[in-house]
Amino acid sequence: MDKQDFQDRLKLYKDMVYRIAFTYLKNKADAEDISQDTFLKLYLHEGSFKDSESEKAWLIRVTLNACCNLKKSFWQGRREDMPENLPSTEVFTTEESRLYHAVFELPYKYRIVILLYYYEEYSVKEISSIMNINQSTIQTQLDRGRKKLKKQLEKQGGFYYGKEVISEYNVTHKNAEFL
Amino acid sequence: MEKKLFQNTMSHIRMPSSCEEDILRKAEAISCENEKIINMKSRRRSRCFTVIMAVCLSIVMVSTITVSAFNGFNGHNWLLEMFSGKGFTYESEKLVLDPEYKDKLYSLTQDCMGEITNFNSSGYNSSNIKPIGAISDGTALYFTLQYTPEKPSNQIEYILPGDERTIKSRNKELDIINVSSAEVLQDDGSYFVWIMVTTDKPIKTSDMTVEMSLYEARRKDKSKDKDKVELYESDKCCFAFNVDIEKNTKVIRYSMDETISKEIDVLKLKKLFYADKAELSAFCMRIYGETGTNCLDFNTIPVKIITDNGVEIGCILDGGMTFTKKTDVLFRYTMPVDPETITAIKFGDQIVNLKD
Repeated sequence: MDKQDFQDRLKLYKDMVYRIAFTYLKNKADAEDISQDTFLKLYLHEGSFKDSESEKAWLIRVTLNACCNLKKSFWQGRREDMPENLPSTEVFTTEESRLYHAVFELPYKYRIVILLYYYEEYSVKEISSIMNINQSTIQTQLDRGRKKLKKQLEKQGGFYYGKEVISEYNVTHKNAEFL
Repeated sequence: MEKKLFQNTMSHIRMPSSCEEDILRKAEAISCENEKIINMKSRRRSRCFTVIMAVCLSIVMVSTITVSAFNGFNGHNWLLEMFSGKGFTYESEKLVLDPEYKDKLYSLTQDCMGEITNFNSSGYNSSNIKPIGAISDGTALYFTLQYTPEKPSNQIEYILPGDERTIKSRNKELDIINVSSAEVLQDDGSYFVWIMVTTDKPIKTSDMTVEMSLYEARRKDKSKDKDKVELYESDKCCFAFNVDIEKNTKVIRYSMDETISKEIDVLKLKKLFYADKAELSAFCMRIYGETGTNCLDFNTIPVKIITDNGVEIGCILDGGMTFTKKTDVLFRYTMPVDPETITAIKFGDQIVNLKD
């Protein structure tokens, strides 16, 4: 791949790749390792991509496979990352901080599906194709993830929306799009 | 919850600029030089090595473990096995299997052993779990349990600790930083399960309470890699015990004036760490010092300790490194060693002598 092309792609996808790896592994150092491997694989990738969407999907798939392999390793795989490994939440608002911690309390498979669906805005069908998992499994994981997330937030004693505490999740801002 | 809020929240997770720079440097190096020079898998390789060694050792151990392993706290095989699968070097592997060394090891770790009392268990298969021993060097609590699963071993993938875990010191809960576990199947179908817990405070008190659980974890569908391990609440066995670890481990301190460096040939870059002090115990060592402008990542170099009889024992980076200038790094040995016998530390090819 051309050097300039690579730099452009790195600029475009670096946060996405890192975010996915971090969301999966909950560990900064591992997410950095996975990101480096993924981009170097892209750099060494010989074939061409049909379009930018297929390139993006390829990057996500490579990242998820690398995360999966890392998690499976013998000792490393069973290391439990605690919140100390999460990035500093100083830059977060109160709402964001609560949500952030709640998301990272979820099992990784739910975190990933929620991230791809709500952040990357992929459909269930697209996620299914990227992750090579049955659509109904993705849908189930999404539903369960949402429920668990709701529970996590409720455990924190109500979710703050603006200055008002909302204890019921169906009480929402009328214009907002909700999970 | 608002989708926008979720997107804003997650958008704070961004690749650090140092990582981006590393990628560019490595890509640059690939295009300029022979790509074999690039150590793009440095950390992963050590993990692979760990896995390979773990598998090999498990085979060796399983075939050599005899009934003496079940002598429990009076025996000491459990202690040796606790360190298996953590990246033995060839020399240290030979040492572990040496009967004479086993006696030495037993005597040197006596001061770190704790007495397990009030052990109780509940839930699934709770009558088939028993404590073997606990040990602590002040930086971590290691303990071993013997667990006999109800299901045949071919239906079990791992024996895993559950998410609920509490460690109290004098009734005050400690923050758990990390929990690692490993298990080896014994000849009689039971497992020795080793658990290492690190907490936010040194583990030194005489009155600790541990409450945790174990799962018999299995794959939903073995043919599908992605489904991996499934944990079922019905397979959870809870246990609790007290442990008395009031003895302190021996620590030897050395002053150092060494620059530990790693040169990245391709990039013409030297990564540095100025070491000024080392603290060595039977289980781990902590190196104090300052990072150079280009911070040395200890994950990228093999670190070993060398004993007075020339045996090299591998070390695993445990953490402690920060990006502040004054910092320290903690390495755990792959097996216990009498700190008095350690004469040098090897960082990559660089040997730092501790004794004249």
